[in-house]
Amino acid sequence: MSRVLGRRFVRADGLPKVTGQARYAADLVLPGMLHAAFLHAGVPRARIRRLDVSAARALPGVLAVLTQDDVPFVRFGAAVEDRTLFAHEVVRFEGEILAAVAALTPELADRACRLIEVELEALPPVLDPEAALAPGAPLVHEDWQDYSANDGIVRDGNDCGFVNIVKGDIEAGFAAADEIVEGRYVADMSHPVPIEPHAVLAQWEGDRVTVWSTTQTPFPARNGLTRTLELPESAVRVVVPHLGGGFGGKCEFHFEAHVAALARAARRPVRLVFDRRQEFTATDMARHGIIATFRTGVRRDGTIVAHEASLILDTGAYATHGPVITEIATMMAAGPYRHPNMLVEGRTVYSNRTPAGSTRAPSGPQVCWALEQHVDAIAERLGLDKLEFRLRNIVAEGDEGPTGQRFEKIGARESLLEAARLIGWGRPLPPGDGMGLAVGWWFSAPGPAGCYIKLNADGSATVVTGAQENGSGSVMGLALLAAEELGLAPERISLVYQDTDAGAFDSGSSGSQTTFNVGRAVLAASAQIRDRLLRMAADELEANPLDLELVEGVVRAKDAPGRSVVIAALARRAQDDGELITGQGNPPAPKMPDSLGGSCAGRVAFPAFAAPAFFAHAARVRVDRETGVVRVLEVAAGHEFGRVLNPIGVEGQVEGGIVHGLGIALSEGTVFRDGNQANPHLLDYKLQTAADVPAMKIAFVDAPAADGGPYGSKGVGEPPVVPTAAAVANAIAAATGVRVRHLPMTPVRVWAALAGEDA
Amino acid sequence: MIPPRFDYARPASLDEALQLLASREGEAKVLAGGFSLLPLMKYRLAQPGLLVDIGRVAGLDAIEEVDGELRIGARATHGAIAGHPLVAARYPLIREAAGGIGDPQIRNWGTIGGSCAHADPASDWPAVIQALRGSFVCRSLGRERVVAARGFFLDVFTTGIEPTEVLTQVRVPRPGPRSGGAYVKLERRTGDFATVGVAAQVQLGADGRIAEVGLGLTAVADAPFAAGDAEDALRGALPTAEKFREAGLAAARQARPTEDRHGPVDYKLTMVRVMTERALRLATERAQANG
Ligand SMILES: Cc1cc2nc3c(=O)[nH]c(=O)nc-3n(C[C@H](O)[C@H](O)[C@H](O)COP(=O)(O)OP(=O)(O)OC[C@H]3O[C@@H](n4cnc5c(N)ncnc54)[C@H](O)[C@@H]3O)c2cc1C
Repeated sequence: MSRVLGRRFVRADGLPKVTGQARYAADLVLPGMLHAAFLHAGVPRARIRRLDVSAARALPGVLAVLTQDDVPFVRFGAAVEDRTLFAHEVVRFEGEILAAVAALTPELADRACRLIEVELEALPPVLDPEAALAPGAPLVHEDWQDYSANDGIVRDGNDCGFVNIVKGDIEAGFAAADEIVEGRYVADMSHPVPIEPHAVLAQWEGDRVTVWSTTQTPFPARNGLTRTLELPESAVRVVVPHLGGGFGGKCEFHFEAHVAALARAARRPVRLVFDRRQEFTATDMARHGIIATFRTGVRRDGTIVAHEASLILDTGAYATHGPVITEIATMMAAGPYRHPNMLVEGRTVYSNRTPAGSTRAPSGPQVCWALEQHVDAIAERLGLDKLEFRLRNIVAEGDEGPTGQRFEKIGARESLLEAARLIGWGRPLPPGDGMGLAVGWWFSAPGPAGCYIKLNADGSATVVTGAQENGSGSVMGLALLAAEELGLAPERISLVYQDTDAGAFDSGSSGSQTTFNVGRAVLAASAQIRDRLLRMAADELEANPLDLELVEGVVRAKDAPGRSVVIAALARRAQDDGELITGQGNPPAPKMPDSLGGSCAGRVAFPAFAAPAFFAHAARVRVDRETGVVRVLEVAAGHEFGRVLNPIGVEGQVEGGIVHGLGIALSEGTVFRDGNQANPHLLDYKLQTAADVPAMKIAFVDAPAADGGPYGSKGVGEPPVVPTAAAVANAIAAATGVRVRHLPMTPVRVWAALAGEDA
Repeated sequence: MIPPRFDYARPASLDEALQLLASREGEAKVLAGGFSLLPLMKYRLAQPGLLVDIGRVAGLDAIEEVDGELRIGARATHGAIAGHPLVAARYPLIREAAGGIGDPQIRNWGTIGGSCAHADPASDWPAVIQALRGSFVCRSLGRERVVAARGFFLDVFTTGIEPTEVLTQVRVPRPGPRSGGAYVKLERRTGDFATVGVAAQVQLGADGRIAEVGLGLTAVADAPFAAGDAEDALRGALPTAEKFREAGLAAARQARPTEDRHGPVDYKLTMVRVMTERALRLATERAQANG
């Protein structure tokens, strides 16, 4: 039936990006533009004794210097309002902004920063999240009780988000167990590392400001700006030129208000461009460092009867999305397994580190890596094959999720079997090689979405959306949906996007939500235009609209394709007659699945996983036992995304997710020295490169969701990054007989584990 | 991340370059590929007043065999060396080292002269040239001297080059029959600087014993060095696994690594032994095949 969907479609922004025509925020230049620089604290915890900017203000060529005294005193934050634009009285992490400067050149702005006189009284940093939870531990936020927070967030001292899942009777479960297996796993903080650093350009005209920003979420960025600078939404326009990647690091609101305030004070456009060090130290969306402990009871036949997990997420100096991510983490600690009895607890702990937040599939890879190693350890204890043990416990249609949701038709089991088949599970391997499996699940994020479409007089169409293209291709793919509905070639659909003055509110490129939500809005808006075209064509062809279809640029009779009228002719006639053919779609969000509700605490955004995607990765590695170097030779991936609409796009997301996951597995981790990052640069924060990429095999399982996105699809952007590190860890264990319990699994850690040391 | 002000000159001849260096002795620096120098300037770890770009100086990038030695122009890039037919035919150690430096961009622009003059303890070339018992040709106005590679690398970023000199050529003796070389490099990830690198050049005698051997070590001391004690242990011995292990242990005793992001000292010392054994094994296999 489908004529466009499923086709291998080259996205519209591809050519400009690969040929260098695309312009990014840091490329933009306005007449009279000034350059911004920030003075960062440079120490993880301190009391500000003195902050004197007079010498910086006096430097010729400096047009504005701002501190917290120069902006409204407003606390903000996505989950807990624990933050101000500039440091206020205390410093809580090294990247905290003390002052901002706008000057004629970047060099002058730099010099002005160095002229600012600062006296900081250093305080011992809070760095151990377990110690930070002890009674009487020093508080990162002494005034935490005065902060407001989203409804339902349970806080206590350094814990800014306690979440649990209570299901069945955990003690009875353990009592019925033949074996009890325990394990503890620790993951270091890592980073999203988009190639493009943060950049913001602001220009005022009268009382209105336009901000070009590298945000992944233009509307939340606008909200942050209007709130902190106390402006009406109508006074702020946020535009994103092309975005050079985000991986979650550019979610929410960052430096838009600092730059807008500088531009207002200086009465000139001002541009800020971060360097790589700032990108590591002064942003607030790192991937959480975690400590995960598990205790699981199983029967000899492999049935899980009790599952207990405790998670500690080091969320750094500010909560950002931390509490919500802990909530996700508790679901990930359950995994896609049947659990009659379960107790999972998660804590979101403040520390004096760079804040952690919504990096691609936040908490997913780390918790999956920990849980799936634990699952392998259970299978080993029982002497069961690891595939077989998973198959005995994995969820299927009719089973109950951790918080009580009932699964409809899902592809968890099928994805696992696909990954195992593609890697050749069980085949003999040369010495030094090992294979590992990991399964997982991830939610789709139902939310508000709207879209307008107008038909142009030549029969092409323009989609106007508030959605944000972060590079994944999800906005580009909206053209496919409109094209499918309107019977047009996708190349005939243009897109206006990532401009808060043009599109309807959108929560941005986060939570794998774009196709899921905006896609449904595109279908709804297209349907209105299609209906109008069908009626016009029905008049002309003297037919019943129900007997007509829109195909390849014409409306034609289904049973007599020769009877047709060209869509462009209808569009032209409408315009000549003064009719605007437009569509507007804002369908209701799919409902959240039912959940247990009362027996769980701290459930704010994800009481259950809506339209969950299921997946499994299998990895084959070769471990050099003498050096600890791990080479990943092959990764096989089985994914159920409900329905795959744009294969080239989804394959790209899976391949990219695997490579991203390999970095998390083997080389990406932040090292702290006395509370400061010791490797805030790409020389010592090691990303994987093309030369490290293994052979990849990918299979999709089709299981359209009733309460899903367009055509039963589910979110795609985040799931692929979740299980790779876990599969690699299990493969390392299979190759060596030793578990590496610290992420990333660097050569030194693998070597130490092999030497019997606790890495 | 912004370098201080500096002057820039791009002379067309070597003499002109040497004159510039002499006229602003101490504050002028040679610029080759710039991959090492420019980052240092951005971090303000180097603040030269004048950059003398030798990119236009003719004749500095030749690769040829003359008088029983391979002569590599200082401005030859890692990539040009790795892909050169002479190197491919007779100098496996050089080919292996050149082909493993950084990534294609680094190899297409970074130069052997820049690497050796820069003397980063983690640069691959210094260990290789020492293992091969090569030498460097240094030119200043009116003077040319040939300096042995062993003894040339003095400390972190410090060599025997005078500020008024340009390194013009790297020379290594042409290896004979029954010789073989290998460079093994332990990396955290493809294209990384070495955690430990070992260059080995083995010359077998007609009796199958090790007649001569060169061992150079990367990234495990303030300056890349030749592992003399290990060489002494090997000379005259049969190339056995036990001997290689003994040599590896001797090399580790001479190494002085420091803890950094690549790993702690005990790891690095163990890796010196492991990598030395592997380099010797590979070089010996190649020597045996090169009968
Ligand atoms: C991402 C990256 C990865 C890298 N990986 C590796 C690696 O794996 N292994 C490795 O060995 N290196 C590696 N390097 C270093 C690279 O090989 C060196 O930067 C480069 O080869 C130095 O040569 P250059 O021509 O760029 O020297 P430049 O940076 O131009 O100069 C370096 C120094 O040498 C001096 N100099 C240069 N030429 C001469 C000359 N002819 N006479 C006298 N003085 C001179 C300069 O004054 C300067 O002090 C890497 C570099 C980068 C940026």
